[in-house]
Amino acid sequence: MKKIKLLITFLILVLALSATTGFAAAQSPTPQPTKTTLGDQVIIANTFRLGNGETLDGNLGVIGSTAFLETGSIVTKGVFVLGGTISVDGDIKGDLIAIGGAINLNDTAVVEGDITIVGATLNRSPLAKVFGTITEQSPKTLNFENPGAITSSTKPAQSVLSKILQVSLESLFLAALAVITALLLPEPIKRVANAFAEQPAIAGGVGLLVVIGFPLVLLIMIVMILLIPVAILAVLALVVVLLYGWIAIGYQLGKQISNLFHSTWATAVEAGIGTLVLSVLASAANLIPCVGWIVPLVISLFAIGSVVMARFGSSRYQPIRRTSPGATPPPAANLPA
Amino acid sequence: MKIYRLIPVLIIALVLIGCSFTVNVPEVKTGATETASINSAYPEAISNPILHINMGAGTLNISGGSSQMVEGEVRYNVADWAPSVKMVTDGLTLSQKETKNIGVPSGNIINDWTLKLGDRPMGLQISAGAYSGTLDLSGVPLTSLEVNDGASKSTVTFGSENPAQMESLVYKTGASQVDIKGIGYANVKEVSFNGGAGAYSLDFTGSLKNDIACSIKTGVSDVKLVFPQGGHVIVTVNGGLGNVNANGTWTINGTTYETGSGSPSINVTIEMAVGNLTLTTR
Repeated sequence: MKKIKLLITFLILVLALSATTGFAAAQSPTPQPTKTTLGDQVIIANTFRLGNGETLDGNLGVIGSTAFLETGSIVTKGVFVLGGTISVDGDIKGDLIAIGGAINLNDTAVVEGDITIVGATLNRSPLAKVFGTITEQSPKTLNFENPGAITSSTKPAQSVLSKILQVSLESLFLAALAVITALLLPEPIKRVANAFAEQPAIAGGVGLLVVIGFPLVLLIMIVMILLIPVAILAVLALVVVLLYGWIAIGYQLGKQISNLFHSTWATAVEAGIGTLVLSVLASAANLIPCVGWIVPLVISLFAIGSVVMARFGSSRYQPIRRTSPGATPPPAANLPA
Repeated sequence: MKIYRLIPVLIIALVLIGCSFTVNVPEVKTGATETASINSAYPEAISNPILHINMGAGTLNISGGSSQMVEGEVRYNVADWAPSVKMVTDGLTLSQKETKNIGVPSGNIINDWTLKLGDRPMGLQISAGAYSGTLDLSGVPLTSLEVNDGASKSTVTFGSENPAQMESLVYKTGASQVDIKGIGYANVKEVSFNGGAGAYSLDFTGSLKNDIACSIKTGVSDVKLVFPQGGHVIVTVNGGLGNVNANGTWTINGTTYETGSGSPSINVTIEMAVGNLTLTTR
């Protein structure tokens, strides 16, 4: 439960990016040698070093960055790593969660909480001490049915909390799926993303048409009884198309994020990070009462439309060139008389 | 009648107004592009000094050919990122200025490091954030190499023989694309690669002088290993949901792949969470 709280803390921090006093995004390579740093620290695309005798009184987020916790350093709460590396010689009082990153626990490292690794690596010295449990999850073994020890509660606030937990874990799952898909199908993903980037309005329109037309086609199939199995397959196919398109849009977003940092990431990395951000944003929007569902719906329309326009990623989308009525037609090819 | 047409527009506008919110994102402030020259001699009091390079987001280009320990220039347009050189107990540290008042990178940030390394034996340790690196270490006498980076795209090339004996080559990276070429020229005994999610390529071709023990641990990744044709190579694959493609002539015994014979040999142990592993000889 603690580690999920830690995860949520960072997701909210990243989403909000609010300029609070405790927030230090993308700070310079090494902090000032103060003994105690108060508040959560999120390091984005940079390096961070907590020196000997220094204490970070809060959580530490390492996103696409490199962090060093030297011998004698203390992080009083948890550490979350997303696509970065961390080398630990000091003491982490809370949990350590890593997604798509690399964790190095050296001889003097102490982790008092649990360690959870998702699509990441853990390199642990035999002398490093871990008091909690170590869970290594591959995408195959992720379980979202029960996202944690959440008991049914009478308090509405906890109901919202469990909702947040669920969407957070779903986003992580989608990010892991995006990484794998981009590793296996990098070019098709790029083609679908390209269709979305070039003609987003048309993609949305095509997606809307599919969503409107699909139930009608489904209805006809069900009425014909014999086609019921096909209808079931069609529903599954639509889900796959939606996931495929979602990942492609996530890739496009990841590309924008990497451009923001003026760096080039691997396709799988861009897809993973972009899909994570996209899914978290969509899920967060979905928590807004009454109108929150519009955001994921619109993204879904774009996703489905983009996949259709790019013919499931098999070919690059070619925009239709219109000619005005009075325009001269292109010269005909030289044909034999 | 026209008023009715405005109602949906007003509803949408009100919804959008109701849903909108403003966040204050701390951003890196850029200014005029500055160029800092780097020119640092070897610390004579230290035998086998180590050059520590600490940088954040940017580009890093390293090659050999200097008579100093390190020389070159750093172009930057964020005032707080002015680099500095410090003498430390085991060598020199080249790092960006220490400050906290920096936010999320945006706009046209310039942080380009172009460095040349000297011709005397030394170690090299690089710590970087999300960066793009081109490290041409051909002929640079390195006794050790350690790279720690976050989300990055980097190429490390050993195009000719390392005149010094390299004890270890350690690479720790996050979600990255890393390409290490010509490890056979690195004159190295131990290679350790620890990666997160990404695409990694390790090319062991070159003039092998001694056995190489290599340990690779990766998360969700695509790993490509290239070995010299005819060389003695043993690859042991552990754990995960990996898919192994062995190109060329390999003897497969369970999770162990072997090709060639004799010495020196390359012994690789690889542990992957999920992904593709390609073994190639060239």
